[in-house]
Amino acid sequence: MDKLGVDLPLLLSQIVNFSLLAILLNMFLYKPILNALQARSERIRESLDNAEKVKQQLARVDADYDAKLQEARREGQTIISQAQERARAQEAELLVVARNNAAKIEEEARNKAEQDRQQMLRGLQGQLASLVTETASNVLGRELQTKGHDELINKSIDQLGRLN
Amino acid sequence: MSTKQKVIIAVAITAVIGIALRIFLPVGTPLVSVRAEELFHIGGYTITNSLLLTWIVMALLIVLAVVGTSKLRSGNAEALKQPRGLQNALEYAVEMFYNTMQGVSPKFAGRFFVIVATIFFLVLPSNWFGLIPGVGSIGLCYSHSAEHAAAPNYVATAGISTDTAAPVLAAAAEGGKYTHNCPSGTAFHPFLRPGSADLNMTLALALISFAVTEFWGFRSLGFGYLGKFFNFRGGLIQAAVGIIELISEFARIVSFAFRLFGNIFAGEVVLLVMAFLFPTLLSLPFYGLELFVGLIQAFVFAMLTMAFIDMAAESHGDHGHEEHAH
Repeated sequence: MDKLGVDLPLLLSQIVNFSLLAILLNMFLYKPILNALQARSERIRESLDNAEKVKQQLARVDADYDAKLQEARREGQTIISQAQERARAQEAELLVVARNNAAKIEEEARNKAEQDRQQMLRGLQGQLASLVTETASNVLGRELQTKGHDELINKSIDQLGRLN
Repeated sequence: MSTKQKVIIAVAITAVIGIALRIFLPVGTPLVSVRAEELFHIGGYTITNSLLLTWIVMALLIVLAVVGTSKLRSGNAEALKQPRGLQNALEYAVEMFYNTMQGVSPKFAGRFFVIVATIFFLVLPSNWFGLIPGVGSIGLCYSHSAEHAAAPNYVATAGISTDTAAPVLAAAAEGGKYTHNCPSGTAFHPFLRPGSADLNMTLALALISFAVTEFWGFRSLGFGYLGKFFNFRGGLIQAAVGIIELISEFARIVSFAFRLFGNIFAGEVVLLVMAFLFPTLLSLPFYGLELFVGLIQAFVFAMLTMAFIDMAAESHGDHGHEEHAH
């Protein structure tokens, strides 16, 4: 062993060297770096998790938005259809009222016309009676006594009315 | 001219220049020492050049670690969010090594990361430091008596004074003239030698690896761990297998120590011999090779330690993956 240069103090000093180096490198190299690597990978995992979460939230918000949009659309549709229905109902109602009004107006007009006619007829009758009496008195040359001939006059007016 | 032809011509020109320069540059005979050379003594302790380089490597690593992770340790949120510069490089190295170890032993990589990573991060720069020009080639001539003398008067014997031992710069440009320049009775001692080219360090690492493995075996299996080696209930074959296991367990110390030592030391020798044969250019490919070998050996040492720790915790599972010596 001596020819190979193996020497106990040197051997021991190399073992001590190694131990010292191991301790110091562990303190200054391995531990800080391995801790940093672990911290970094943890941070990366966290970030990825967060990203995943955000993505999920976004998806949820998107879904919510879609649902709300759908609902709003549906509501709008119902409102429109209700309005249309109501409008149709009102239209029908208005039509009925208008028709009734028109009928009433027509009726009234007809009644008025009838009344006017009756009135006119009545006026005409009076005039006719006096005219007839006058004409007759003229024709007969004497004044017919109104009294006592009323019956005759009324009969002739009645005939007149029937003629009409 | 095709690429292949270009390459061939480039190699030929390089070889010619290399061989031509060999003629003009005087090169001394390479001197190889398996032992780590002694430099000086402090209070009775011998300091070798490999120990010195190991300290330099350690200091460098610790300074890098302290500087690189200072922001992280002070809890700087910005540094955590966005690593920059040195911190980023250190993080990359540590994370990559951690993930590799996790691949070898998913269960125990975290628990033994300190040991395994320190092996890797100590051995790798040690290996690569040997490739820096000047490491292993700049030194002093020491008188032989100083090597074994108990007296720590190295200044006198190692000789800063020029008559006994002239300080010699043996850089590549001077072609390793040191063997000529050292007077007889003295030997050249380079100032620096990679720690992994010294058996003391590789053996120390091997013992640590062995101790941690056995500790973990007993820790996770109790005395049942010994059943792996002394298995007499399963018949003769099982008993023989147990004994072989026991031998291989201890053989690991040797194989760990000598694999790393052999590779790095041999690499040094190859570079030395190549520099001796061709002082310029042609030894370059071997530098690339040795860079690769240095990385592989550091990785193999750390990874095998991790694998053995993992296997020690298995009760009587398969022993399918034995070590693959490189």
